[in-house]
Amino acid sequence: MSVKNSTLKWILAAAAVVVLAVGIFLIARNPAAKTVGTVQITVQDQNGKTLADKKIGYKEGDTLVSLLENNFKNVRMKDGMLMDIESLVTPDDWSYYIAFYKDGKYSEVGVGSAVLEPDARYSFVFEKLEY
Amino acid sequence: MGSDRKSFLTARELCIMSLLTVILFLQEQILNFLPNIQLTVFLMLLYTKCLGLWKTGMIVTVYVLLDSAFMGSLNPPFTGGQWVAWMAGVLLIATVFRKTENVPALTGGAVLMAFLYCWIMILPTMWLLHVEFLPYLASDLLFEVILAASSALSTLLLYEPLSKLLRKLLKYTEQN
Repeated sequence: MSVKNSTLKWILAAAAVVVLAVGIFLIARNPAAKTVGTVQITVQDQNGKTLADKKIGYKEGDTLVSLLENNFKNVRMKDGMLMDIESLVTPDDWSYYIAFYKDGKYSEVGVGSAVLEPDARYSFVFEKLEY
Repeated sequence: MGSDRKSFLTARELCIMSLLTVILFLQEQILNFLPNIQLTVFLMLLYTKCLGLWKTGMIVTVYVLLDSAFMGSLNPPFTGGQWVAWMAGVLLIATVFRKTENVPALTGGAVLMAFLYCWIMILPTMWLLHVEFLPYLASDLLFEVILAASSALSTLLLYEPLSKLLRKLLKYTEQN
């Protein structure tokens, strides 16, 4: 490998390390609430039956995951995704999954990355994986 | 005569390909705790450069089926989408980057391959999870950049030594 190519290789490697470090930092950033407020959290089964519906107050530093863990039964997270809550259990074959909605729309971020917003309505709905 | 003709696949090559498939599958499971940091793109690029399109295609097919079954996502749209997405990258390397051994150029190929995989996978994900294109792309972009950066880094650091090693191994099996 020529000296020029070798130099370029190490410059690119350094750039890749920087991009990786920034990316991991952004992903690992704590999605803690920056305000105080109240949110509504609803859990529904596959038939649309409401299993839980709670208005919960939160303070600075709280996260959606911490609210779920402190206010609902059987909460289990895996890789930032909600696997189990109340009587809903994601099966191993993923034929059903817990869909995450914010204010009635499919959330743009995962449960683990969501930052609490005042008066937001978070819904967890057990949905069949259809194809 | 038939006996003089070089067969497409010898038993030894098949053994090596099986081993390479296991490496491809295991590294992903081992690195699973890291967000999109994996050697999958790099290994597929390496295999394509050393084994060619068809043999790498066979490895990719087994890997996709194994990975989908293990991760519980073995269904036609997702598994099919994954196969198409990985094979698009393999095809890219086997055509556009076929003649180059220049590591920075191949790194560009790895980055393209990573984004190609992520963008093709948006389609089955949209279909299965009923998500809209732009919100999904926005939430996935950071993970795409991480996959591209980890693929670039592994190609820059590992391509030269591992391609030499794999070619030596393949040559050895041809001679013996």
